[in-house]
Amino acid sequence: MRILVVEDDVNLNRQLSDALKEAGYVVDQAFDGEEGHYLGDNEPYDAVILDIGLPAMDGITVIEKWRAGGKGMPVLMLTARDRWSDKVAGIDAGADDYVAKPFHVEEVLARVRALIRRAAGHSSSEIVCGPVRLDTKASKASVDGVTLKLTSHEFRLLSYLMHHMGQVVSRTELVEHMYDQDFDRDSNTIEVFVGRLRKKLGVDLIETVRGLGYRMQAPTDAR
Amino acid sequence: MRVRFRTIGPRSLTARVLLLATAWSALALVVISIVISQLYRQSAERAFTDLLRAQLYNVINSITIGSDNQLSGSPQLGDLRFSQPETGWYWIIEPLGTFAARPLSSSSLGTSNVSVPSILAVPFNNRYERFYPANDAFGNHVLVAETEVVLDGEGRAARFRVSGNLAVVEEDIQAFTRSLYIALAVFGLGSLVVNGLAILYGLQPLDGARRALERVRRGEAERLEGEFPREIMPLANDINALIESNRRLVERARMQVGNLAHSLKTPIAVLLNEARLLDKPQSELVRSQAEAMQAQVQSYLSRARIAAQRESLLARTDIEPVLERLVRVMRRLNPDKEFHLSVSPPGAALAMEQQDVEETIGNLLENAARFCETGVWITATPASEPQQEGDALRRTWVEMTVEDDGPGLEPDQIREAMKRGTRLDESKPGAGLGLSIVREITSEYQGMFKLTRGPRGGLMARLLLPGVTKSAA
Repeated sequence: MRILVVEDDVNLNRQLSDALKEAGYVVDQAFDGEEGHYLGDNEPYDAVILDIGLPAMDGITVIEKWRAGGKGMPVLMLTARDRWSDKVAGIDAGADDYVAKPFHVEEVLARVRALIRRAAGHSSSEIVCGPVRLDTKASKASVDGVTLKLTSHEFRLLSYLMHHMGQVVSRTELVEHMYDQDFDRDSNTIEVFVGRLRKKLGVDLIETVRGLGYRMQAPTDAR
Repeated sequence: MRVRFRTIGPRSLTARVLLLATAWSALALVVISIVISQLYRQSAERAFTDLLRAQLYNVINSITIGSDNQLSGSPQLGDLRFSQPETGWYWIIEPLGTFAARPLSSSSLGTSNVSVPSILAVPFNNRYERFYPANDAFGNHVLVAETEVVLDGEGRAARFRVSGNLAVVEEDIQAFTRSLYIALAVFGLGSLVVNGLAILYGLQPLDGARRALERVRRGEAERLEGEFPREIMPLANDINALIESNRRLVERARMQVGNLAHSLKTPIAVLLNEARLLDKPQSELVRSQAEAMQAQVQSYLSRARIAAQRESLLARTDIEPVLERLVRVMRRLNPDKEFHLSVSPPGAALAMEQQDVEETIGNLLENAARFCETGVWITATPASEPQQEGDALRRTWVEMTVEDDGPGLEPDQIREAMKRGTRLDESKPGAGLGLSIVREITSEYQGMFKLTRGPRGGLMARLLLPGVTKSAA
């Protein structure tokens, strides 16, 4: 899962990014509205954390531009101006949720998780695919109740596939959502990770759709 | 800063103008009465003197020296007072020098006489006449006109005197003065009434300005409206300028409050989260201190906001659009929950700043959405019951409820929840200031805020907020 953090305060940006990375997300950082807008416009993010009071371009304008350009990723708005008129303005511009400053990073993480789940159509914090359970809150996965030992890359891969259960996900899409913008991307490595993950899961839930990518679905749904 | 005027005399303008006008009228009337009565006295006395002189020459013309070398003749003065006794109206003819004749006098004098002052005491004038006051034998105060006339070629002469009773003049003057005083008193009272009416009429526009200002203060008008006379127009313009500058001040204060919030909240967020990385005791200390700072910032921001709101003069917010906006946001944030909104009558308005309505209902909605099972119910209806004390001047009231179908709160939990910064459920996000902000705003508008258990078993917030009267609407 790839997250964009747009916050002009360097320390707060770092804290948010570190916490998100710790929770298994891939994070890109932007420190002003223009940079944030550019990244959001050109990279596929699973969620954006966006401060409202930004230099160069304010957060409300950034969201409006994204939405006008057809970008639908969930946006969590950070606001120091916690008046309701500000919240209403943010939501009306297209934000999906807000957190008032000052906040605990855990709260932001919980909101981001919920936004990503909601965007993928899951209401519970636990996503289930046959015997496989993904606990988004604890960043853990298990098969038949036995916790899996996954590397961060494997976890991201599993998490993305489970969030998009039943959908065909291309290798490029997986690369884009598993690595940050500075990473030297190679879609061949994805095959390696998928192979490892299949082994660790022990059940064949990840189907290769020739020429298109991968699809994960519960055995009962499989053709 | 308060500008003070030092004033002398009464504080009422009407009283001042009336006092000055009355003082001036009274002084003028006193002076006029003195001058007129003095002039009348002079004129009455001159007429009296002229009458006496005319009578004197009548007497002289009617007297000759007869063949018996006695004074002869009987003056016909056409005035009965010369023939009735002791009237003070006399004529007296007395021979002078060697002319030995019997003196003559009017029958009114009888056998008495009127004393003659020496020439030195009362000299003759250039017409060889002299006038002097005297008392007759009957106690009458009289004025005597006297002259001496040579009656024939032998040089025999006589002193002619005619007297008139001064009481006549005095009575005349007194009668005149009485009438004068009555006339002036009527005039004085009349001008007092006219002055009063003129002042009331003249000050009427001031009263109009006061009423216009009252409407502004009550939030029924944005500025002083109406046609004012030339003298008051600058004042009305200045007041309007003051209202406008006040509005701008409030606006600026709010903007600064927002800026302050932004500038303090980010560093506090950084501190709060950096504390996670420290060892346990230090981490707890920094975190608790940062939270205390956060609570202080929130508390002072809300106070500043309420203070700014107190200064604002005009407040009117249509209920339905504001609630619809808030509900739209809540639906977006909580797509799995239902929000039911009912406002009656449609078009109802609150006598509150929009921002305060948003803060109040928004915080309650946020709490309700956080704890509800399936949905939140919001209603606004005209309040039917009589309100708290001091309500006589107030307008109508609107009762608003925000109810959820969550677990609700026990009475002692409700008491706890109303305290500033209390969070009953640490597992749910939030700073815990929502309810105390709601309480502060409602009390600022003399409204009411209560938490109870609703009919659906969850928490129900009941608010009584000032509505806008029909006349103001």
